[in-house]
Amino acid sequence: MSSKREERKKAKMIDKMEAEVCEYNKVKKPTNAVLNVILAVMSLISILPFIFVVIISLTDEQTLAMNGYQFVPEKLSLYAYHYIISAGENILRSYGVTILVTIAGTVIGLFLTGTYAYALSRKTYAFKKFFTTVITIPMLFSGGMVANYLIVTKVLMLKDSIWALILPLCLNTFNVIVLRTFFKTTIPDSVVESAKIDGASEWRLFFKIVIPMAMPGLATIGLFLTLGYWNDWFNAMMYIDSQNLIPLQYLLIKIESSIDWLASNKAMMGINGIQIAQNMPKETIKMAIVVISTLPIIFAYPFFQRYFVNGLTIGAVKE
Amino acid sequence: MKYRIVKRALAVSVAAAMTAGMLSGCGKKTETNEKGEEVVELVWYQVGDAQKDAPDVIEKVNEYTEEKIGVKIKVNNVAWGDYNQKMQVVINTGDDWDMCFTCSWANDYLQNAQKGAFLELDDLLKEEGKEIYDTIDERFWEAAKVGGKTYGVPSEKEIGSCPMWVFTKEYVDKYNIPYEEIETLEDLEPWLKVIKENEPDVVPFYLTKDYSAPTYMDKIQDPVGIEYGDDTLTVKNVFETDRMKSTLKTMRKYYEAGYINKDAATATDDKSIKRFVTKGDGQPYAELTWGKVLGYEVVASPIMDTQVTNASARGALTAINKNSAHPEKAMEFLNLVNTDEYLRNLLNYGIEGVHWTKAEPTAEEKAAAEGKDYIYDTKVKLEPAANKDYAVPYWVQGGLFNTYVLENEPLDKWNTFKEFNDASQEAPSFGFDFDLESVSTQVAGFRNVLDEFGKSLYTGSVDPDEYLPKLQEKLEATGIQEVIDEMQKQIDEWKATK
Repeated sequence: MSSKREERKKAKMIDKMEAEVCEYNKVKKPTNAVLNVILAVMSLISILPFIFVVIISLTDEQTLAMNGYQFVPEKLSLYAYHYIISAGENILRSYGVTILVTIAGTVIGLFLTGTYAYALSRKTYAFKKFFTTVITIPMLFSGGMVANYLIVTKVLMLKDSIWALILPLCLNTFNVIVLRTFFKTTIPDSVVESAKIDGASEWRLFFKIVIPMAMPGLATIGLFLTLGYWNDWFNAMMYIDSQNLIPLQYLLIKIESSIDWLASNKAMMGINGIQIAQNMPKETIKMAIVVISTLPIIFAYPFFQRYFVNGLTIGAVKE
Repeated sequence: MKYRIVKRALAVSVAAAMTAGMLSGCGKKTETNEKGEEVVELVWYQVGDAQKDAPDVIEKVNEYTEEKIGVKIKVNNVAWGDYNQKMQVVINTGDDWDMCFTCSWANDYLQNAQKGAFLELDDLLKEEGKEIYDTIDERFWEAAKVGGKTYGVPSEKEIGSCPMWVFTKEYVDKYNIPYEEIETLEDLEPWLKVIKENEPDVVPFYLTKDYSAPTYMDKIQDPVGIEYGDDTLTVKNVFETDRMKSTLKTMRKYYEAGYINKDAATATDDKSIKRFVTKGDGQPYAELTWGKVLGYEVVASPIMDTQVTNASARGALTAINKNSAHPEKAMEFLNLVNTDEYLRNLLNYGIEGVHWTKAEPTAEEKAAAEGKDYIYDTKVKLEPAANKDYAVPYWVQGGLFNTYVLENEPLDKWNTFKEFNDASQEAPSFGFDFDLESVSTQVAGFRNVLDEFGKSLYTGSVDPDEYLPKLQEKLEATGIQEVIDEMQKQIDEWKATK
């Protein structure tokens, strides 16, 4: 009997202690309210522009010219999307180019970064020092635009080829170093050794043991690469001449930069500039392109998010 | 063990195959046309967005030029905003190109010519290019000379840009405004007052941030230059000239009287705002274009006589690469573009029957145009649906005077342009190129100072009595006097050789 009572007492005390702990960890009500407001404002700041873009893309062009940007436009219109689907053959083709480049680039990039970083992470690798130096140099010094252009067009012969959009972004020092550190900290040497003892070849070891263990790290690099490829327009500007190889982002940048440029050279171009500006896509169409070019990336985030959370917990528990 | 060897062999052969594939890609095959001449392909960089139907048009062009002169072209279009950067890389890396568009405001003609990127054309112009050399206005050729050598074939169009007052016709009619008599900024005043008093929802004098007050000077290196009509060739700072000082005062007066929109220094053109007058940089028939953009009729009157400066006469040129393998062919091609009626209109408007059809001008029009230059017996009716797939900036490709006019344009349009060009006066500084190398740091500083004060002073948003001295002080500090001295020195040398 007495032991039961004691137990109950103990349980009560534990409850109390827990409650106390909770009390200490609890955010005070007013503070909580303030924090919530701050966070709400911040998320509004980041979300509102995008909502605005969506609304503009759905506004009637005429209404836009008359009233300017409005949250609740007088007249809605699907014209911009209609235009993209029907007349904008280029836009859809560019969409295809972007998707192809992103997928191919991410796969190739992950393979190259993964293997490079893995080799550097192994203590037993003989040329570790040499290859670390090799990969560090381009992080500190850059050959510059002209040198890059010469290499890509004259040495690699990639001018006006889809590879010019894929290869220059594949391997990046920063990614290699992040991944090497990740391999070093998450893959214990003993795992590698035991696999070797069981007779695994280097390739099998890498694909069957290391990759599954390093999923969070690879997902991070994968996201970096995906975003890099999806948003890249500079390579397209430099190396692509054919219309059917132009990625979506460059299409957008081209419109934007041309409009800016025409505006700033108005005095020099006189009437010619006005005529050219007239042939440029209208505001609503620009915004519609922004919407369709952003959507896939928005959907890609939650997919990678899963691994990020995993990655955080893995990193938190140290041996 | 064996497995490993096989794998290595495989890797090597794949690598070999890839290299071979790359190499075979660069081998050029030679073609010949029916005359048995070798056909060469010329790469032509143009500014402006690529058009959807361009491949079809270029194919037609190639059919024709292959037959005629044994040339095929490949056109690379670069977007307006990227042209400067891209051409810099293409030129500096010695990339493969034969011809490119160049002018005073994009892919800078003077700089490229000075650093030797372009081929000297003087010899070619005596042979392959003789025809264009004789037909194009000699002042264009004069402007194309850098250090006595020609580096580009000019596109013949308007030779100077003419600052104009652009009035909304509705109010001109309503208040019987004799707009053609209005010339200077001061002439506007009584009418601005009338509009201010009677039309409360109209901005009398609508200005935007790219407005610059009427300047009676060739600003060779903004803000330093030589005043129009100053035959003594004295280099001045534009903000020290009496004309500019009084102009800025007048602008301030207008601004304070409420004639000018309050946001002028930051505004971008908002077409929904009703305005009475604004400033535009025009040419003959410019009011038609302005009217079309705004959606109502406008009328225009020139602020001053059109002046020809280096910058204005170098409005559009085509240069040939110094390292081009076929400079003669390129010149032959440029010659053909600028003289051949069929080829010129094909490049300009696209394929006849697809992008445009011929339209017959009326008999009266024909009779009225009788005996004038640059008259063709046909006009162009654009096919609205197909035309949007081939809408190119005409003057990028070549001269305008041998193109047909559009249906809604007067038949003697190019004759009017020619008269306009003939009537334009050469600025005293025409033909002088400033070599800014020794003062480049000072010049680089001007931009910031002008950005800081220029817009607000020009639009009258700030008081010139207070801000003009501040501007002068800053320009002084960046070393404007050294630039003036250097330019004066160079211009004296130039004058002596003239």
